[in-house]
Amino acid sequence: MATVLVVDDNVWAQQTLCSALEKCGYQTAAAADLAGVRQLLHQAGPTWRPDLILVELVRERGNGFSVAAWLQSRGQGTVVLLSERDDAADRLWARSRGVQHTASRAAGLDRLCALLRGILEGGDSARPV
Amino acid sequence: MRALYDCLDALLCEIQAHCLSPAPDLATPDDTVSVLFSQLMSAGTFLTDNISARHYFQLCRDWREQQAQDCPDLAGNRLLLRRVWQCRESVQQRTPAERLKQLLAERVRSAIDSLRVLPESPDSQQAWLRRTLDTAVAIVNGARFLADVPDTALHPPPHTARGLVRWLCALDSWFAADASDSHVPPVFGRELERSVGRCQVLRQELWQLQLLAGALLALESMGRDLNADKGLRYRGHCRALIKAATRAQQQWSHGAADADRQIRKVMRHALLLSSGDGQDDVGCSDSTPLTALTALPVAALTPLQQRLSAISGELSAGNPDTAADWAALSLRLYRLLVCLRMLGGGFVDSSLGHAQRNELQQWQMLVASLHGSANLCVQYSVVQHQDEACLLDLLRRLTGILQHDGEAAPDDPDLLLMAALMAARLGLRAQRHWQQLTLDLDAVQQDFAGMPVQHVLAAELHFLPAMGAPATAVATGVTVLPQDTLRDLRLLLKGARILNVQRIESLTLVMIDVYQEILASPVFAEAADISKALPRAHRSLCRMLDQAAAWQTPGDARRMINTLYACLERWRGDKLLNKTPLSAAPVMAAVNECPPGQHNDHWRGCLATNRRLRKLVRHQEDLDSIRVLLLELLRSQEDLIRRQADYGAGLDTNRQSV
Repeated sequence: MATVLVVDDNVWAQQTLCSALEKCGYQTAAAADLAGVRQLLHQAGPTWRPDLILVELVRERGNGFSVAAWLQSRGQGTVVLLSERDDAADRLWARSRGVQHTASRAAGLDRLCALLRGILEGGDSARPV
Repeated sequence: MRALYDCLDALLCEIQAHCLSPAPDLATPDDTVSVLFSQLMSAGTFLTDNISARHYFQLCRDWREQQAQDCPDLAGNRLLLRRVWQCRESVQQRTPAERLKQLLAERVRSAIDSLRVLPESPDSQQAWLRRTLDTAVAIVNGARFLADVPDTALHPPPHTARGLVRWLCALDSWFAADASDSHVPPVFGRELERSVGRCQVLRQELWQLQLLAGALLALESMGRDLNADKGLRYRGHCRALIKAATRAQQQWSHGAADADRQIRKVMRHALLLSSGDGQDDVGCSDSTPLTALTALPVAALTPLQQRLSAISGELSAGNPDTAADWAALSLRLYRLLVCLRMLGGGFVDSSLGHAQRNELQQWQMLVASLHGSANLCVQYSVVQHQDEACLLDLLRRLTGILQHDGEAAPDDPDLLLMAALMAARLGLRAQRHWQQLTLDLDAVQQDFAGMPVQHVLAAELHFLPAMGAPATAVATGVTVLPQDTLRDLRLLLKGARILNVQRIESLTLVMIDVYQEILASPVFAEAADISKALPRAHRSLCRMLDQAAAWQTPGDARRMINTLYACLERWRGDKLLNKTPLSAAPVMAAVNECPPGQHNDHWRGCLATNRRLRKLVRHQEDLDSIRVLLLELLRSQEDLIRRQADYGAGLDTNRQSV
């Protein structure tokens, strides 16, 4: 069973996404920011690594690009940037920072799960949602 | 002359009907046909067109010959019929006056259409004016040969651009008046057709269509004289077009299949508008107001209400004044949008019916439009005071809707329409503003030709984004790298100037200086101080770029700027004294991070910054190109002086910086 780490400082969205992904058969973990991720990794031990990390772009403090780029560069897992801004520049900048996948909740839970499946099955060619 | 041709055509039509009637009594000459031919001969004498006159005379001569025969035959009848058709063809052709009118109308239209690409520079504006004046004089000269031309076309054209455009539009309306009975101004009609033709290819045309429809609605609201019934259908099509275009843009960005359906809707309404044929009922749900989402389960409704309350709270605290206030409001709207999308996307346990899904989509469109507009309000250069006031009004109306706790909510049918129009208007204005700056700053190299600056920077910065990672190759002084990095930095500098991100611009200027020095003296890259400072500078720059890409204000980079300058000055000073660059001396930051007690270092830092400023002013030919950098250095000097003053007054300031 794959593990998905959700990094979002919007508590309701974070919890709702985790519940939805659990119903789709994923194990989930959550953190609000980079400090929370570091604490989680420290507590979980060196053997635990999430398979996927969903990082929300828009946050109250900091920004999702830096968080996503840092996590991707450290090899913590495959990072997917979540954004509802409908801006193509988000996808382009994320790619230039090393984050190959972007997604939106607008396409629905089914398509998001299909994207995550595609990434887990080795599809860097998985189409963005 | 047209009336004469119509009369002749009517006569010929009757003659034709007689010729084609079954089994005419050829033996007995028909008095009706005789009368018709005698009328035809009389009218035909007034023809001025030689070719048409020749056809008529031949027809009349053949009829007389047939009448003279003792036994008229079918072959003769067929010949007569052929002549009748020849004559009808000649009268149905355009008269010279009509041909001239068509030619003049085409010239007027092409002059108006040349304004689709607005001349930006004063020189090109003058060139357009000269060209169009020549065309206008030719039109006036040609119009003198028309009988029914309005007085406007006979007077010399105005010599101002505005007057000339007005003159051309008046003529265009007159030429198009009897071409169709469409109530849509001909300029709009042509633009609608053009945009529809390109709709499948260019997303921008959807925005253009939205604005056109909005402009038509605005014309109507300004009291244009429209037939009431037609006005109603026309209004409905405009609204439906705007809604469908907004939906199509949103779904297009997600690759949803439904985008095609929305685009077809847009095209259908646009075609109906341009043809002036609003026969079918629009049937759009625009007459359905945005009602409260009372059918949703309470558990799903609660986060919506909480987010709307948060927005309401922001607004009741006072109108947003600063970029930070608008940023906070934008964040609330974004979170509301996330909530709506999760509700509609199946992330929450709620069985939504078809009607509820449609309603949720409308809410999503509304909030997405408001969110986009609020983000643009952070950029004061494109948003005016009245736009902010309008947006605040829309937000108050939005928060007012769900504050009735499920009771009958106030109807607000125009809210979605106005929000979508506002987002399109502000977005297009921002694009035009950046395009203007791009033309000013990028006219020669055309690095950003035709593309949004943000997209080009995101796609074309090949090396800088990766250099913000923890391990980089900068410190090893690879000779190829400085040139590639310089190319990225120069592109970034241009982009930062266009987007007016001064902090990024000033740090980039200093880094360009550093890399130019590395290019000139590769051994500089191995110096102890720069080999530590440069990777930090790259990380700072990447962090600032992330913030800019996320529509946040980039952090302050004054310390980094001073550190890099200190390294440069030390290197150049060492070069003058022929000192080895691999100094074992510890790196001294230009701005010392010392406890408040060490106030002499503040003054030393202040002095160093002052010298730096004077050197830049002395040696830089184009001071305007480094204006933002000078401002940053002055601010850092001010920080140092203030710290010293606070220390003297017993205060302790702790400033955050990149």
